[in-house]
Amino acid sequence: MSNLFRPCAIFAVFLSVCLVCIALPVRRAAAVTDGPESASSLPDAVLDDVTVRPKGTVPLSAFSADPGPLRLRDEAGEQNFFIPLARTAVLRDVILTLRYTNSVSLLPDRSVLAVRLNEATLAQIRLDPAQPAGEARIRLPAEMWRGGFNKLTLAVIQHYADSCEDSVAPELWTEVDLSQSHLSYDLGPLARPVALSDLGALFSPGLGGQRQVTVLTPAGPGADGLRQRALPYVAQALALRRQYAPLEVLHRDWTAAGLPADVPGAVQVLVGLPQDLAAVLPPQALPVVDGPQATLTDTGGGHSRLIVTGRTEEEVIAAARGLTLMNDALTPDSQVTFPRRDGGGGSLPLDGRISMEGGKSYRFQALGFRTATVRGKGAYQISVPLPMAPDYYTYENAKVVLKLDFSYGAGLGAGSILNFRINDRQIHGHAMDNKNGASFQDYLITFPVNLLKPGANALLIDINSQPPVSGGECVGSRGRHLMVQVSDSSVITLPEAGKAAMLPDLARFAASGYPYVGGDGRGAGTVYLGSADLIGPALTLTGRMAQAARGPVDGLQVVVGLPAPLSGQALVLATTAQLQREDFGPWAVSLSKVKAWPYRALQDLRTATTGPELSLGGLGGLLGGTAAKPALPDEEWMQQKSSLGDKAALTAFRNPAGQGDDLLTVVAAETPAVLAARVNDLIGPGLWGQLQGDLAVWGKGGQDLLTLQVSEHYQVGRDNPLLLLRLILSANPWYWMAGAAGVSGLFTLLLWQMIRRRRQNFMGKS
Amino acid sequence: MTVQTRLSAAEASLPDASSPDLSDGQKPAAPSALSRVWSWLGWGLALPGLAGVVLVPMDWSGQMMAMIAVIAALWVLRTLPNDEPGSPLRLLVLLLTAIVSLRYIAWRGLFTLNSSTLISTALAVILYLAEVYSVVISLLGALVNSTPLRRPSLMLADLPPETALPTVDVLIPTYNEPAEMLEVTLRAALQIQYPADLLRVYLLDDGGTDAKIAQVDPENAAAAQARRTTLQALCHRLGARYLTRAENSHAKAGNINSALAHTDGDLIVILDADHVPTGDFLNRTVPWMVKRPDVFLVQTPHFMINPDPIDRNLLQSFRRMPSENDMFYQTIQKGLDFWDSSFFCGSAAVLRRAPLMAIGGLAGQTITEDAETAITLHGQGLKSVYLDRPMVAGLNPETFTAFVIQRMRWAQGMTQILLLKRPFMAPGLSWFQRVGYMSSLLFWLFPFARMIFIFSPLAYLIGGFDVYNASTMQILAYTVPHVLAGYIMSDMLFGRTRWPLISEIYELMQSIFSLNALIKVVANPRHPSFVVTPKGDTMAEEFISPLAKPFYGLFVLVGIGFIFGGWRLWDDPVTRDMTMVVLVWNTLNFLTLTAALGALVERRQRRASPRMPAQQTGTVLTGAGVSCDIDDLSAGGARLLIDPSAPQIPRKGDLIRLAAPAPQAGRTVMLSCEVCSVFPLRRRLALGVRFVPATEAEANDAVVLAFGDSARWQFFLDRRVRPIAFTTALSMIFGLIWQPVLLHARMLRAAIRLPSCLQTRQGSTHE
Amino acid sequence: MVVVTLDELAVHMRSLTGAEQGLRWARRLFSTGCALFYLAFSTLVFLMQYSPVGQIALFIGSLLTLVISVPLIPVAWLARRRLWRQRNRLHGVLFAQGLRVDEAGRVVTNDPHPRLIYDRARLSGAV
Repeated sequence: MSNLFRPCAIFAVFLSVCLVCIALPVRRAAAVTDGPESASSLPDAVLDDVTVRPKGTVPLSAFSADPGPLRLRDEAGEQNFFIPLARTAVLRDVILTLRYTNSVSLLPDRSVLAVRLNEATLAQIRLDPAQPAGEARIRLPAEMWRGGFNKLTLAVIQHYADSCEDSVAPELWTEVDLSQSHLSYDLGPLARPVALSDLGALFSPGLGGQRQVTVLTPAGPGADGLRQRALPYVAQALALRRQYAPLEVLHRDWTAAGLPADVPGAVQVLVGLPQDLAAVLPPQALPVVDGPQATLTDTGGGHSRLIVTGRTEEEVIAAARGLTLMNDALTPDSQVTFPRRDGGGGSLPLDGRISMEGGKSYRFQALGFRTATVRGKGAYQISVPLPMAPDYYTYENAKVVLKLDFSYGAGLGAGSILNFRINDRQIHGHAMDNKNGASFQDYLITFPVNLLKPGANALLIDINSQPPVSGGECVGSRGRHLMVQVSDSSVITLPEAGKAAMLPDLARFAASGYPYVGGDGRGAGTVYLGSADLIGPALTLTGRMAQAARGPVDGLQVVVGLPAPLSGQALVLATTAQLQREDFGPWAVSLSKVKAWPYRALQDLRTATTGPELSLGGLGGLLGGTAAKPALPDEEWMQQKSSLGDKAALTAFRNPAGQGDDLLTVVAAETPAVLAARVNDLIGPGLWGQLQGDLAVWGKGGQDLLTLQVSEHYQVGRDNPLLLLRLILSANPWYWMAGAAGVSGLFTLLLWQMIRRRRQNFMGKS
Repeated sequence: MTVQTRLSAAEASLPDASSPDLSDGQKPAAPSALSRVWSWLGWGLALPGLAGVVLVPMDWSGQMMAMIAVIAALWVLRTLPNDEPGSPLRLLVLLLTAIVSLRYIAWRGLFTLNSSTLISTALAVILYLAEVYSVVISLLGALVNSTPLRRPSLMLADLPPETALPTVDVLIPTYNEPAEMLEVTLRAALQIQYPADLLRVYLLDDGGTDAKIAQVDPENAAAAQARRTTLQALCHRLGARYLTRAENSHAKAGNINSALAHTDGDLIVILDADHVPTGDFLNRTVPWMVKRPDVFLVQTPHFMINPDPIDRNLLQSFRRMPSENDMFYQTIQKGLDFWDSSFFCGSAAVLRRAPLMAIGGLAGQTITEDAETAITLHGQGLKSVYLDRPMVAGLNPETFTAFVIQRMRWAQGMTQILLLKRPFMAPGLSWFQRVGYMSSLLFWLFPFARMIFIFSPLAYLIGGFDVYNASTMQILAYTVPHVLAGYIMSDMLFGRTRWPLISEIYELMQSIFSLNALIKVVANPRHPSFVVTPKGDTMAEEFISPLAKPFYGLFVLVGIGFIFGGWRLWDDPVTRDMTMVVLVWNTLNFLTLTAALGALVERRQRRASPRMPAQQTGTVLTGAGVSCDIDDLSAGGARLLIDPSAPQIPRKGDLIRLAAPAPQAGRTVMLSCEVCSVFPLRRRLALGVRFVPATEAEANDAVVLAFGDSARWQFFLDRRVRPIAFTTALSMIFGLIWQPVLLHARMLRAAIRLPSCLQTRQGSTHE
Repeated sequence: MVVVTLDELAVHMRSLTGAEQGLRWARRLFSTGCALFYLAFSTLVFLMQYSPVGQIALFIGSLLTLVISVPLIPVAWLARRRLWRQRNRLHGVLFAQGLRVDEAGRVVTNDPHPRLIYDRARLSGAV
């Protein structure tokens, strides 16, 4: 027993010494801060909340593609963050708080963490092995910020020895905790008068861009046309300026009493005829209307007002449509008129919505990729956008052919490689093992076409450049001479294809707005609302669809009221109460995965006999047939009536009332308020990207999202019957089997008859 | 064993077991107009329907599901009774397998030929053409063999008594065959049961022609003269007639044509020098000529009493396994007979003189004059008959070299007919006769396909050309069902006469040599000269065939393919699954090549005329007489099994008399024999005896006893023509192919050490 | 010499014919069982993968087929093996006595010139 006592005692002493050592630096680091007192507890990082209210804080992780902490390795490592800033935002004060940990084997006076903004070094933090963990607060002067993307660089210089050290030694590292490091800033109002050229900046995805906007129309049936056809254009115009960031659109009607006072958002949008505007605006605020017109004016206190008007209702709609096409940079005034073109009915140009067609070849330059040159040692990534049509369909063994032009300079050492990926699938690797460098023309790579999914895809080229590792630690090159270049003259060739798709498919809807956004940019279908107070969420959703389609959806209407019968291709937003109609009965929305639970429409959730929780059927459940389940009424299997609570459900299925292959998409919730909130959660990047199957149910803040494939697939195809036939047979080989059985039976009969006749012929002669 | 039965007394012999397919007298009802309309309507519906079922595209998932259903249906249909010729179930199975294979070919053609580089596309197209060729051959074979015809046995006794039998000339062409072999054939021909005054046997000696005798080289001239003298004496002694001619133009065809001028029999029987006829040869063939004047040919199968070189060197199961030509003579010829396109095979056949003389004798344009003559006469509307009863006993070439020479000549001849006579366009042939002939002629182009199947995987593994542009799932959905359907079809059609994987070995063995022969023929159809097949060789001890070098080359190349395959598997992740598939393909080639190497080790074979099993009893007349069983029998001797406890057991060197019943001759033959060896065997005492005939009659009796009984050949055939499960065949092949490889290695080492290897006596016969 | 009376031979042939037919049926059942199993199993996998909802009749049909085929396979396999052995044994008895059964089902001597020993069709006609 005694020989155990001594080691235990030693261990105890060692433990206490360590605790003392660690406690000291932590307390010291807390004292280093010298800027304004930061809030004691940091607000939890709101993932998608890039653009925040005038005064606020945003974590650095919001600007980084990779989750988790940032690790800067080797002798000189750096990482860039691109922080968008609205041009209309006036920065008063920006403070960057960094929480970092560095390796304990660094030399204190030769290891530094530098912070640069737009290539200008603003601070250098000494990395002290005695206090490996620390937190620094750095003021980033407002004058160094500029509209658009600002480049924030964190760069380290790390040494562990005075001379003769290995530049890629494993002990050279510094870690920055991106979720705990944040940017807190203070925005002031725009000093100068605002003009239409600032509309893009007002709704920019960066800091200071508006996340919410309220659209106002005159009350009464007279403005129904505007609400139905003009508001969707306005919502899309503003959402497109937000590019990828979400935009919540609210809607209010103004009455003769005046504009509503408590309107959220710094920008108000008024859509109406001059006579309606005159009822609520002072005469000096009324613009002179000589045609379809849009006006942006200041209303003081950092607020502004966008007026979309025209002499007639058609002109107001034309003005709203014009907004979706207006190039902000070319309209420096605060007012613009869109003269009506003759006809005026032509479809909108397909600007920005290029997706690759089957059987064609595209140079990378045409896809918006510019020749990229990567210099210096380290790991880099080049991304080439590959936009695919939403209904691109071809034979599954068809191959995509890449002919790449790339080159790398001399002096690359061992471990310098190129990896080619499509989305997340590795397709090819190339070792840059020629020390004199090499240049490739039409370097051939083929990969199966089914790696590309509808909507946006990317060819990712991971580059790792390493200098030659030379003998001993003294001799080591910085690797600044290393160079890899990918040229935009590379070509991608897609195999022959047709236009066909399997619907319903929410993933395809999220990736491209299909089928409500037709391939030629024309809107295909109508948005129906259960009640007028759902116009806001409908416009929010329409704006997000335009962002997905990367262009305005021409001719999409938002109609209040559910027509009877609800035929054709439709997007319905309604509360469960409003879906109570008899003709909605046959919606076979079944909530179990495998065997269809023919299940009445969502509104049957309303009268719940059991708890609200949506139960999951499954093969196991069906086979198991647990006794506890209630007796299943005839073919309806299971009927459950329960409320949606605070959740919303988005489901898509073939419109029973529609003819052929019209799709019906229903967004339902308990009350309009809940529906608006859930739609707002839906358009966030986190939730919108996870849509799949044909039923999605999600709760507050996009939590516990549930996606299912419940209703039956059907095939939609436009111009290639053979492809459509293939699609149908591939999903239902039973048809082929029946045909084969029939033909073989008939063929056998005929052959047998021929042979029998020939045999009788023999008998007669032998 | 005695069995008391009231029936045995009444049944002296058994009526022929095979149920007669064809009986006399019924007149076929002419198809009514309505049924003709129905059949045209049916075909109008069925053909586009079939095209639709074959061509409609499906993703691999749908295709795999459909193929699983079809293969499942085939699996069940196979167990239902479908060996009744032309039965609907049999036709349905053939049709379903055809649909699977046609879908595979359509898919290959439409979706998998697009490669990235020009060379890959070219190689892919060449491979595709080879696959189209093999599917066409299997479909033609399916149609031809869907309804094999079993003709009833017709004997001379069945003819009306007053029928005037035709005169028959038996022509036996010879070139360099030994006199002892000719003596056996002549004796057997002379013993054929037929009215003596109507039967004449001629020996057509091309070895002793005037030109040979007058040739410049004195030694050969003397040998030719000696040969002529010997054969003339032999004919005289036996009572046959000796014929020769001025010079050796047009080889065998010329020899026979010149004999036709000197003979006048109504019917002509052509027998090769090594084809010994049974006693009932004319008894069973002449009635067909008498009953049907439009018949110009009655062909009978070539039954071989010695294994071919590949069977002897590798398989070594001559008695238990169907031999290579059983497939043709036991199945394909019966299928061709139904479609009236079974053709003359050069020997063991009866021809009608009139039509033959009308076309100027045997056609000499190609080196396979038999098939060529048959096409010409079929084109004139005449009919052919095929009897599937073995009534001659021939010899396979002994060495692999001889085997290859024979097969090269057949391949060249058939390709010549394809190019010169063009049966698909020849006038006078019906569509099913064209199908029959094209099926037989196209078969001989297999060397092209076989070589492409060997080199394609190597092109991918070594050269990196993607010759097979498909994913693994597609291979599972299209290629595997195609291979399964092919096996099911061949198992149903040829299951009894050709065991699985045997075809691949035989075709590979012939491919390398037949390929360059075919290329020469295609280049110049009139070029190839007649090469005589050497037969009757005996080998003192084992040696490696001189033709083994190309196989060593292929063996090494396939090995290199494996090395490159392994590297490609490791190096290129994107094409890993395709590389796996091609490696499996390369492994199959490797196994076939290993088997081929096994067949190239020529095994010892000392016996000049091979022994055949006999199931007869006899009596050894020594003292009271000892009953014995004749275990095996040949023209030269026999092995007798006697009870060890019998009194007066003869000793080695004794002269004994053997009495054995010869049911085919209807009498008991007495032979004097010399005991060469006495040894215990299977709990009895075996006597190895050699016949020492005292008189000519006794020599004839030896031949009658050994070769006269066709029932004995039929019995021997029936025991080895039987189906076998695929797994059993696979394990048999695997078991066999390894020791020859070790043997090769040992012999190669020995050949390197030993400066010169012993050469064997090379004899050759005229075939 | 083993003496076999005609009655013993008749009994022997009845059991041999029974074994032959039984074996044919066992083979059919075994093949049908395997075919149905593969078909049902692959149909279910296909339905799960490519059309998770609808095709209810096909789905239930496949399940039933699966339920039927799973027990059928081992039973048929055992029956096939037993009948195969029995048939071979019965044939062996005849073979040992130099007899065999020809295509038409008659017992004949096992040599090139077979002699009829027993013909059930003729006997039943004769009796």
